[in-house]
Amino acid sequence: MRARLHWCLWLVSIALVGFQLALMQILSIVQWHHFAGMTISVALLGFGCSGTVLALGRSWLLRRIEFLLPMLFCLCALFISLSVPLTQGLFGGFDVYMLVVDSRQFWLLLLCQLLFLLPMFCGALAIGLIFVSEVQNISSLYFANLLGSACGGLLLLPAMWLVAPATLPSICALFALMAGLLLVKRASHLSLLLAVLTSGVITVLLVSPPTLQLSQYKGVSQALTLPGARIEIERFSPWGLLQVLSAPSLRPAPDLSLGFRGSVPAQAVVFNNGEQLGPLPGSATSRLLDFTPGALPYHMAPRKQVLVLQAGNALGVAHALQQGADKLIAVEPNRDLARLAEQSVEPFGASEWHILEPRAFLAANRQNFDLIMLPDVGSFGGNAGIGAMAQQYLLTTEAMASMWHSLTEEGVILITAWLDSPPRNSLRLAETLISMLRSEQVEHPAMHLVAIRNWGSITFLLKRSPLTAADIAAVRAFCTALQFDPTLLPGLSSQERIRHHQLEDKTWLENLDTIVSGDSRELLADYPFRLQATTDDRPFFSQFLRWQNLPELGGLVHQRSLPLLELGYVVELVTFVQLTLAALILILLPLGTLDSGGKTSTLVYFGALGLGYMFFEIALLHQLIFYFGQPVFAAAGAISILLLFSGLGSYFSGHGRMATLRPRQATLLIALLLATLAFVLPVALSHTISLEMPARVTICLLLLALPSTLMGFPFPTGLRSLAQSSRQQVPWAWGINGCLSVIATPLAAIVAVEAGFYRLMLLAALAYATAAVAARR
Amino acid sequence: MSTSGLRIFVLAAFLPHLAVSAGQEEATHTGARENMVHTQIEQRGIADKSVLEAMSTVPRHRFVPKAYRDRAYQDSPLPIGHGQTISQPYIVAAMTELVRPAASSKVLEIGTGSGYQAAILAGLVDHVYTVEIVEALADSARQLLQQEGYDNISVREGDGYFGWEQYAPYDAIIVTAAAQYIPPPLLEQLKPGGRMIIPVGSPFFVQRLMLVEKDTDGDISSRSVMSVRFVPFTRE
Repeated sequence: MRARLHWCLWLVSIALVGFQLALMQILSIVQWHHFAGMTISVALLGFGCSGTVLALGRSWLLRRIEFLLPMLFCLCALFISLSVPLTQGLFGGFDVYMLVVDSRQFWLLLLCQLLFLLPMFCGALAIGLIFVSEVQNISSLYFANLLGSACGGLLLLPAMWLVAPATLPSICALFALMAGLLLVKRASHLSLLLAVLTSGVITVLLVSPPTLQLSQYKGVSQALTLPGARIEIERFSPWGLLQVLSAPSLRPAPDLSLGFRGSVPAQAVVFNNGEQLGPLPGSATSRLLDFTPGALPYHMAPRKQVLVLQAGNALGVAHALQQGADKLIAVEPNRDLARLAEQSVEPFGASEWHILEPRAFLAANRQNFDLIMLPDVGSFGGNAGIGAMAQQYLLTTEAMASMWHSLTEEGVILITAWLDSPPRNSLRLAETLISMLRSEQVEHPAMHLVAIRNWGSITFLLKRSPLTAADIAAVRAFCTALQFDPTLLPGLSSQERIRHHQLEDKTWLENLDTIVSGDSRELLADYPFRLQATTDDRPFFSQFLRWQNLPELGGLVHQRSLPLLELGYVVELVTFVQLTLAALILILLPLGTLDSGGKTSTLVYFGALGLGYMFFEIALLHQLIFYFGQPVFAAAGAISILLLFSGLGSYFSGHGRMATLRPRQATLLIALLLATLAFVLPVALSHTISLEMPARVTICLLLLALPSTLMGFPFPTGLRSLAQSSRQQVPWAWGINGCLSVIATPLAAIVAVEAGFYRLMLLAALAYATAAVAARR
Repeated sequence: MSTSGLRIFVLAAFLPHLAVSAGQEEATHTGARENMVHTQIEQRGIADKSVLEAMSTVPRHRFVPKAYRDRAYQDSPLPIGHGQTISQPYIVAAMTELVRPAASSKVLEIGTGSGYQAAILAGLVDHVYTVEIVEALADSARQLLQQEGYDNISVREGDGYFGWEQYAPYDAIIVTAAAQYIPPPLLEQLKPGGRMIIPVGSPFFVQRLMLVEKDTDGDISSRSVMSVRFVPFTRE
């Protein structure tokens, strides 16, 4: 029986972690990934709920454990498999934007969250029941739990390439069903019936998975309403759902000059998770791109060596090739997109593609380029801050410095930002570029920076050597010919800056000038939004919100002036508040039923463990995305390594010589190690980033093995120690740990935005130090 | 009395109530509309009397899907299906005022949507030509505008990229959906001295309006019009 319980824990943990990842993928496709994060965070509260239910009904539940366990595993499987078909109808009517105009949307969202919470609750209740009933074997049981979680991540990643997103939950459900089948007894008709029903539902959904209904406000949904629209290519991967769509009336030509008088032909457009990435290069590409601000570098000098970072749909690659580039390197982390783009530019000439995170490429790069192109910043017309919490490592001062050092003497960096209102992207980009130039001790930054403006965008061009009179004349001639306005250029008259595109708010130009002059301290302090240059430690380029302005933002919501709201960050704050309130209720609810001794110590110890573990996990992810150059694999790899070693730690905490390590010693040791890692890890990783992959994996394993293993100790040893003094508090402790782990995710994001990832790692250490103080002797 | 006779009797007995109820509903909407014009439009600086008159006259609630009819006069855009929205009343008023409609004007609208913007313009100009690419929206707008008695609006189902060359040039062009570039045919169909207005932003968050002008020499220029006010936060 005991061996079976271990297998059950392993299987259900695979199912639950796999389900989280599958859900993230699906909700990112049908809605937006920030709401996916919010929904899943709330669903994970199922762990906290299970602890409360266990604490409240411990004896009743334990008496019926043999009946309940197979039922819970089967229910978990059933709810996992049904979650998408049940919520599709609801989410078909739900839309993040409509939250502003339709209060019913809040109820729809809440209902969806509850439906996703059900499988988590059933699975977690089964896990908690096993832990509580077999607390003397907690080391090996927790090992099976962590090992299953690690396997869940590793198994689902390849599955994302092999099966359609809508099928993924049913595959996860199979694992939970297997756990149920291991424990079903012939005598229990109800559990047998449930197992048969669940098997039937899973089989039906595997054969005929539900159709995903994307929000009607997603780009691809709107494009599909065009007459004759059809999807030409569709591929799924851990990067999301990649689609190429064509329609006779789909004529993309972003940022085209008002002076263009030709015809814009229909072109196929690439979408990822329903959001437009842009047109694929076609026969008219060069003719159109010659009429965009992106053509400026070619008018100043020939560009033979070109690097296109995050090359996306390869439009920039095709343009550079048509402009005569001899050597073209394109870097794109999304493998499917890179292959698609590479094929589409073949007719234009040879290009070398690297499937890698651009920063990892820059770190290992030893070549110099005449032109380095970055993807556009922001989205056309602004996006109400939906992407505020996205980490943009290509827009930090460190990233700009790497590019600066990869330029030839006449080389330039080209970057376009869509103009938003109130102005944020353009000002922060200018501040980031100028900060980098100052840190590189460039004497006259203004002599290296050009900006030109179209009606909806601003394009910055940063030149390695100072601008010459010929450069300045070339920029002026280009702008005159194509009806762009030079915005930053030595020797400009004020009239020249608004010749074709007038501004109602002239302070934007004044603010740009202030930033370029290098005396922006006052502006940065007084501007209603954050404009400080972004760094690798705080890489949130699109996060402009200041805490102190939140009350005023509340007023603006009432006035429907929501464009000023940074939705992404607010979603994170709302998630945090929502989770904290729910967690408080869940933690406080069983208080009256518990015996009096040591409740504070239990609360602090298990809460701090939940916070510390998640803080470390998220801070580590941030470091490893750089290091391995592939965010998806870094996430899966890092979390799996962490869980695997922690699982081993848990096992050793009950077996062999290490079993003598007490909770206080273990947590103190972890706190010291994490504090050390906060300093050591960035240095060690940055010095070894250019090594081959096997060497980097080895270094990573060496650095993480000890802390990760030790991090598996405190929970099982703490639980065992608690069982000796108060068996009643064991399920409560399980619930506390679950609740705080869930709260930790949005909290970590908020800490990273406000204080940076370095401090987040230190906070992880502090959490373990707090646990050491609270640990029972 | 036969069963059908009974039904007719019952129906007849309720008809006056239905009429009273419909009358009350219209009165409620009229009140809401007046309030909308005063608080959302006039107070935000729209001063053109003819525009205010048009906004007070056109029954916006009839252009809104039934499910959202009770919110027709709220200060927000509303969904109309197919991923499209009926714009916030203030944006409709601002766009109308910005194109400076004259009684003799010929206006082209790209993106008919619900037909509301065309209905507002119809009361101010000589003729409105409106193009909608989504067949279902074009059909429903055409039907509704006919039903409401607008005889100076022509609706065509087609690709807005090409404008409506047959009736060009236009004194004004209103593009109701955000566009990443302005289609060259539209610039060509704009009369010298004419004005084109385009909102910039995502469906529920129009952030600013762009005014494109063609001078008498045919030169094109653009102007950003911050219709949605940037309210600076006060810092202590």
